[in-house]
Amino acid sequence: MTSIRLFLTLTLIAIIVMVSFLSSLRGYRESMLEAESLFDLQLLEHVKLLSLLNPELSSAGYARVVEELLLPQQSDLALSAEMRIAYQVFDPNGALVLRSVLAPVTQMTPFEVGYRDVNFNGYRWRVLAIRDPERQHWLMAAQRYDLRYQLAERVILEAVVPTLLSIPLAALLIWFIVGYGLRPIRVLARAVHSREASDLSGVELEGIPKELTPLTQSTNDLLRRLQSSFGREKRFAADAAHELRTPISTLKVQIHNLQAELAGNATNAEAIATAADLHQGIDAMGHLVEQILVLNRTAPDQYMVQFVPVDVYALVRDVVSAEYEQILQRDQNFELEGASAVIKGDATALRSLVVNVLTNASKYTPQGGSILMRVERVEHAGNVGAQVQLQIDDSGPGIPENYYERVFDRFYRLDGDRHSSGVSGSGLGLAIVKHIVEMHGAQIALSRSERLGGLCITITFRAFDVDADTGNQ
Amino acid sequence: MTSAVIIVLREVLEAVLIICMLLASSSALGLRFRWLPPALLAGLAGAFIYAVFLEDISQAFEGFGQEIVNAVLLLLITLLLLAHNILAMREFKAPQIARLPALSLLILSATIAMAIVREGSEIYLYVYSYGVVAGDITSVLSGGAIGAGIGFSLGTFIYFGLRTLSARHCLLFSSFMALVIGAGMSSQAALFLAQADLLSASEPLWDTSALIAESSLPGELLQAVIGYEASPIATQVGMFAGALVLSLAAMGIGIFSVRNLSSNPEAIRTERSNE
Repeated sequence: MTSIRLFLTLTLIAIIVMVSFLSSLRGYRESMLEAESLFDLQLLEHVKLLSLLNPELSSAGYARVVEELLLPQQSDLALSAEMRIAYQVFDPNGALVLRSVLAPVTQMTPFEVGYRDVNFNGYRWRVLAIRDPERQHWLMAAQRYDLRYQLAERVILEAVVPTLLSIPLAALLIWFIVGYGLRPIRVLARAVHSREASDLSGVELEGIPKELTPLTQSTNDLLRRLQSSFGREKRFAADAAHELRTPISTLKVQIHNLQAELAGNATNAEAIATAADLHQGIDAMGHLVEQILVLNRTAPDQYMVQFVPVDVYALVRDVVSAEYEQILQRDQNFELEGASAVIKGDATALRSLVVNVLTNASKYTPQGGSILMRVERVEHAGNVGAQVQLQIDDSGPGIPENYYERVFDRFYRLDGDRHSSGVSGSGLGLAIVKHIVEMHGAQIALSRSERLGGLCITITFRAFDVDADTGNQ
Repeated sequence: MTSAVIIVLREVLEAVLIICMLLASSSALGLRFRWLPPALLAGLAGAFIYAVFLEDISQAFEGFGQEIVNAVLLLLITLLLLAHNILAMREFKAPQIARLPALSLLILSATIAMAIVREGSEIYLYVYSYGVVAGDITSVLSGGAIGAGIGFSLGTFIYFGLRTLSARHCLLFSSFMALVIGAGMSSQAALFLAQADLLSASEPLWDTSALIAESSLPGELLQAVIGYEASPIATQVGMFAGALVLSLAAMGIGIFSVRNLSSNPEAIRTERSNE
């Protein structure tokens, strides 16, 4: 995944570095050449000054050494020491009459007019030799190459170094500016990301840059189409289920009548068995249709939420007594533990939830197995009794851990239709449970039951404190 | 300062070419860049240790320690680049189905770490001896910064240039870059081994210094990329050609090893379980 910010920052810095460094390099080389000619000019000026001296004052054959003049400031002295120039003056006969301390006693360069590079005193020197046109004296001035180079470089680097040091600053600025420029993308992404799953309305943002307008428009367009197609799908499922209720009720009555008629005719045993199967099939279809209706009614965006205080323990007890027949039929051992625990929720939806978890447990627990339900107030973030936990354990086969997420999908059944339990079902029970749990802002977790070895479903609600609520109102 | 620019640019460019090429390959091979920081750190640490112990290393092997270690490093990098070419060509021939992620990570990290050990130690030594010891620190550091800056900029362009190619073309291009860089490195290794009297040093086969001098900027850049030598000895030319042939063979092996995979899912599974 490439980051636009990183790409822009790196390439922009690379371009700036490339351009500014190459131009610095070129500037450096040009300046060094320029400095060379300046130093040459300086030699020429020295020679001109030498020509103003009267070397005849010095006695012939005696080389007079000119001592370095002491300059007042220490720093001037250091600079002078670096810049210092060696010079020699020869009379027309080629005898040395005057030289500086640095200059050798032998001539620095042959008697030829012009600049020349020579070696003496262990260094390489740039020497200028000129012949005085009046007195025919030879005047020579020389500078050490390494000192010329160092001095020139020091001056030129003063200009180069700030360019180098400015690069990190430029990089930092580019990083922040590119980040700022990309902010609308982040804002848009956050606006799309932070909305509820059910919110399919268009994204409305102020000051969207024109580069992002097509994206915002296409996203909004897509959301609109998605919303209308979701709406159609939901309406269809709800309407179809609703419309199917009447013919199913009619079928139930007719199969009941048919079974009553066949019961009178004992010779038709095969027909009686077929009618019983048919009855079972119609019941399953009826159950499925009811489940689809519950699922659609409890969908968060469909449900008209009416939260009231509900005692979960009392609700469970109530549901168990209604569904006890199914448990008895399967010869299962049922136990309810806990005490009264109030939450704020929708009574009808919560009843649906308890019915679904209970029938689910009863269905998948084998004949003669055990089911344990527990309702208790538990501690949360240091507050005793801040949460209400509804737990249902069974001694069934349980669910492998990697299927925990998938079993909440609509119409998903473990191992498909070849469910190992051989139990018929709609595959909607846990989807409904999850809907209701989400609607109440609660949490649901699946695990292996420690007490009974099967599946353990734990649903955690926020507890409702009756006294505190009354106080607030 | 100019010499600092050229020397640092050459060393940085050698390392940056390898790093950027391998980074582009790495994303074409579907690997993330988490391996990069440890490889860089290992390389920098290695370079520092190598530079610090250089005196002891130089005195080993009868005074040819440095040449031998350099040659070994260069030959190892060449071998790793060969291995990279095999991996890249497998991916080129059978995209996404014949990946060997663990091995790829190992090869890429090791190549980058070694390239940094080699080039990093050279830069450290140059800066230390010319800057710190000779007292020319501002000039050497400024020149070094300019050289390194230009080298890294070139690397950035090469990396993003490679990334604009499709994954398969990127791998193909990277493999050819690895082929040329590897050949250049083995030729340099031959020179080191000849200096250590381990390979015969004949008279130079030709001299192109009049055309492109080694110490000129184009000469130094060419040395960074293809190991240019104005007057190479026979061994160098032989090693260069040998590395080219081996690298091409490695690419062939890469393609050959996965020729049946795209049509034979069973072979893919066996291949993966063997990894």
